Amino acid sequence: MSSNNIDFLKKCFRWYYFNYQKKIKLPNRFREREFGYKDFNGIMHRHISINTEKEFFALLLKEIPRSIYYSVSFYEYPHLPMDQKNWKGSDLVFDIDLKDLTTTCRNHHDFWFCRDCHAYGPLPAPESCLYCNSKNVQKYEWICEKCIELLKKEAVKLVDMLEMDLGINRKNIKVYFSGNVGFHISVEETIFENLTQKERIEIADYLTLRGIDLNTIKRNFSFFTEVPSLLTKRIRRLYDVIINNKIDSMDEIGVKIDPVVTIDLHRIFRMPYSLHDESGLMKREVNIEDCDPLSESVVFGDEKVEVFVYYSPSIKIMDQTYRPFKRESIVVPLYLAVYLIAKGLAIVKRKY
Amino acid sequence: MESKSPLGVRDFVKYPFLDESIAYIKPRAKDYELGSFESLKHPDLFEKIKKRIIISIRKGVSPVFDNMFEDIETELLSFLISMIIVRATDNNYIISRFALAEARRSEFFLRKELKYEDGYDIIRYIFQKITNFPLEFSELQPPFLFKLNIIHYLKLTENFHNPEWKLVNRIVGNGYVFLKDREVIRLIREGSYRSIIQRITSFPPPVLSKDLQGIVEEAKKISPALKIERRISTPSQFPPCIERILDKIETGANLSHFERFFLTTYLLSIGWEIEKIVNLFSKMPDFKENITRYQVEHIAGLRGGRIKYYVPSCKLLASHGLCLSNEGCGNIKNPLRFRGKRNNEQ
Repeated sequence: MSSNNIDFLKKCFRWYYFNYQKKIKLPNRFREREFGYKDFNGIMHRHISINTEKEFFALLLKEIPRSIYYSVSFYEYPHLPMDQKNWKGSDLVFDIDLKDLTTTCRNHHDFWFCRDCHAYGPLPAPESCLYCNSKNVQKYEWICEKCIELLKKEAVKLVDMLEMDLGINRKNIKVYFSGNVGFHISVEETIFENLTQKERIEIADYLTLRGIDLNTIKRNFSFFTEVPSLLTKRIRRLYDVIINNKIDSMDEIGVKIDPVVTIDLHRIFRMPYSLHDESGLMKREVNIEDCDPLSESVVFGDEKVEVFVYYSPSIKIMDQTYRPFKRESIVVPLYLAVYLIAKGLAIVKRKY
Repeated sequence: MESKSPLGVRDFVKYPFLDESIAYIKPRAKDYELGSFESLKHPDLFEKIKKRIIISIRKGVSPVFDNMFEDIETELLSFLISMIIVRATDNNYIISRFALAEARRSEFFLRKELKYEDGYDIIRYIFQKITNFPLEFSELQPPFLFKLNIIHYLKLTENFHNPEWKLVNRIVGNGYVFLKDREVIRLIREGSYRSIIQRITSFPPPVLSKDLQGIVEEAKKISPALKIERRISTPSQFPPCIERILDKIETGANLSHFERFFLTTYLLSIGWEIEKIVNLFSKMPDFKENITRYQVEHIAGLRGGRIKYYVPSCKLLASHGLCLSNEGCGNIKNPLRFRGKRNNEQ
């Protein structure tokens, strides 16, 4: 990223953190968690412990991180290297990400982009740039309204299973828009905290249907003439598929989470209400049934900024749909300028 | 969970590992000084101790003696002293194998309880005593008579391999897993197994007489060596994920289904003979030769679907929690590509 772009983004991030730091709330048991952040030089700093809120905000305002994270686990010594931290427990977390979903709109809006010569094209991405032969070719996942609907559908399914199947109280389940192309769901302050990695694999498999054995389930179902009312949607759907031979695909039953996130006890998670480095949107808690993440997560204003866009598919942000941009200078609202620059698809025209 | 015990002394014989059984016999055990125990002075007791240990190791099930209710004291003492002798072997295989054999012996009695009117209450009581987890009666129709909290279920079934125990294949609702009576009995077996191991390993190293030491030596003689020969020509070193599984076998621990599958595909790929792999698995406390042989041959593509299975990718291993990332494997996608740690630095 050019130094102009970095300066621009850092200025914007600084403005946000100086004015809206009170939005950011430290997670429960923050003294027992590891904090980490990525600076604007792309360097990751980890194994930081925080003892007071004041200490945290001092770090935030001093460093103006490009991304800031906290560990999903609690430790006795959060500041020590991983093998000496002494694990005490972890939130039960889930990641629903566009990459794990089968969407048809993907073919319309995803693309590859060469970081060196800024060429672009439709997928599949070539090994090296078709124009300059550079290996610095990146695949871009774009998010559209259809994608958001599909992500929401998975999140709703997940929350339903957490409540109905696993018996987790809704008030302990937090749903966040990640700030980029997915949702984070976090189960906090429950007995699930103590689950080992192995036990988390079982939970992840239960939700994704990995390792499902239809014969075993069929044998269990053979004791029912119909599904008892106290049983869950998941079981009712399975019953419909297995016993009633309804062509309701199994695909509809499992949830498409990324299992590695759920089972990784060393994972660090983006801080809620901090900014996503690849979009400039904030990660925030949402009401899953009724949310418009690409409006609710916008923090910057609509001041006019002139940018040069290499390429951008059509995007709907703040309830306004923008046409695709192809190698053109254009004046856009600040939030869109930040979005495109953070993605590396545009440069700011003059010093800002 | 505290309730008046429905058990009598005959039940202590059937379930000698329960706290109340141990509490019953412990005061009487004081009369026996193990450092000077002579087999000739207590021939019945010595015979029972020896059989309990040796048959457990050989057959995997502790014997049920015909006269077990005739001399309850000897019967219970034989269990208690057997545990102390097993402790003296300091051998994880023997400890696990003995615990499993005793747990299996009791499983036989638990099944019989089902025939009696109060069978379900007895089973529920023993389950709660041995696991410390509450077991509730379910709202579902038979055979799903019980329900157990998911977390407790996961803790107890951690080492089970059969797909019917995987959470994804269970009837689950509102935080509970529904269980059939026979499944509860299987879980009691697991709970007993763990509790016996815990009890044995909590004993201090005992001083034993020559006669009792003789049992220790015999037990060791008939047990497989746990040390695994790890020097292999190709590749020069096992990858860390495989090393960790071998470490587990050496400590006498059980492996998950996926760990066994992965280890087998890997060893087949680097050219191990089926015989050698079966031999490796014989070090595990729950080893059954015919089942193991079938499964290894199945993975090798010699049986069943005649499909040869490939070694899982690092990514798949990670999703099963078996990849020790940060171990410096380099940028490989499959453990077979591992060519020794830090080779570049040398």
